[in-house]
Amino acid sequence: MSDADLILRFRAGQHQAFNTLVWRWQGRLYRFALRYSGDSEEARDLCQQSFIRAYGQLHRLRDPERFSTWLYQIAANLCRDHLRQRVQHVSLDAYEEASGGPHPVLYQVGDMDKVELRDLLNRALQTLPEEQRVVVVLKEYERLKFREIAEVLDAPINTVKSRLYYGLKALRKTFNQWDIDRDGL
Amino acid sequence: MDCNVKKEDLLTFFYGECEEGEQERIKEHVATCATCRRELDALASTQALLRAWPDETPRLDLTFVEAEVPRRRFPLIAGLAAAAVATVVLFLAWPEFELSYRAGELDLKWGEALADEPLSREEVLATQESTLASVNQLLRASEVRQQRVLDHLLRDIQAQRYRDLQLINRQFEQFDREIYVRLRRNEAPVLELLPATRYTNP
Repeated sequence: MSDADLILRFRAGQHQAFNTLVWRWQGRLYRFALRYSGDSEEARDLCQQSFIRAYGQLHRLRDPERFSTWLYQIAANLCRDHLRQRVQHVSLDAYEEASGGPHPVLYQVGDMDKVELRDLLNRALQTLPEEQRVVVVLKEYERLKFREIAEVLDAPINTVKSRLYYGLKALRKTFNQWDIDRDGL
Repeated sequence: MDCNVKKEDLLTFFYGECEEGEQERIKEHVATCATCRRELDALASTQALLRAWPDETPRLDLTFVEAEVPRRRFPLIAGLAAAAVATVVLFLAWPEFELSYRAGELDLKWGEALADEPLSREEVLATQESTLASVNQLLRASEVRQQRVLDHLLRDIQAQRYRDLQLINRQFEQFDREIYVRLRRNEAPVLELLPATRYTNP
C-alpha cells in the first residue's frame, strides 16, 4: 500500500494508518536527522517531533503523492531551527582540523569498524556549512532528485546544485587533509 | 573548470539527471576533456567514501495512540451515576474524613478520631521509600545534565588551550626570526673587517 493510500485512509478516519507511515519512515527520517545534526540523541528527538508535526498537519497536505518531500521538508525545518538554538561552542572538529586531522596516520577506510567509520564521516559532514550539508545528505544518503531537494528546501534548483558542488569539493579537501583513503572499500 | 561546461551541468550528468539529449552531449565532451574527467573522478571518489557510512536501523518504536472516548448510551442514567460518584468522591476528599477496609471490616473515621489515629509503621516506611525514590530520580537527572554541561565546557577549554599554544609557538618562531635577522645585521660589519685585519697584522 502506497503512502498516498495510507494518507487517504487516515483522512477517512482510520487513524491507525498513520502508524504504518511512521513505521515505514522512522528509520530514514532518523538517519537524515542524524547526518544533519551529528548527534544521535538529538536525531531521535527531531525524528519524533517531525512525526508529531506531520500528524497535526496531515490534513493540509494537498497532494498525498508528495508525502515524502513534505515529510523531509518538516524534518529539515525542525533540524535547521534546532541547530540555530543550539548553544554555540567550538567543536572538537575545528580543533582537529586546525591540527591537520584527527590523527597523523593514513586512514584506511577498509580497516575501520562501522562505528569508527560512521564517526569519521559524521565529523567530516559537520565541518560543512549547514546549507551545504543538508543538500549533501539529501542527495548522497536520501537519494533525492535535484528537483525534489529544491522542493524540500524551497530553493532554486541551480542553487541546490551549486551548494552540492561546493559541499562535495569541501569534503574532498577534508578527506585529503585527514589522509582518508578509500582503498579497501 | 577550464572548459565551457558548467559545474551544475557536470553534476547533473554525474547523477544521471540530464534532460534528453544533454546526457549524450556531455558524455561526448567528457571523452575529450581531461579537466571534466578529473572532476568526475574526484566526485566519484568522494561519493564512494560518503556512501561507505553504514546504515543503521534505530530502535525507535514510535507509535501514535489515540484514546477513544466511550459513547454514552443512556445519558440520563449515566448522568445520575456520575452525580452519585461525584458526591462520594467529594465526600471522600473531605480532609477530615477517611473510609478504609481492613481485616474484612469497613472502617469510617472523621474529625478528631482521624486526627488521633497514628499511621502504621508500614505506611510510614512506604511513604519514605517512595519519597526517597523520587528524590533519587531527580538527583540522577540533575547529575546527567551537569555532566553534559561539564563535557561541553571541557571541550571548549581544550580547544582554547590548543589555540593559545599555537599562538605562543607562532610568536616564538617570529621572535627567533627577528633575532636571527638582527644578528646577521650585526655580524655583517665584523665579517667585512676581518679580511682587512688579517692583512694588516704583521
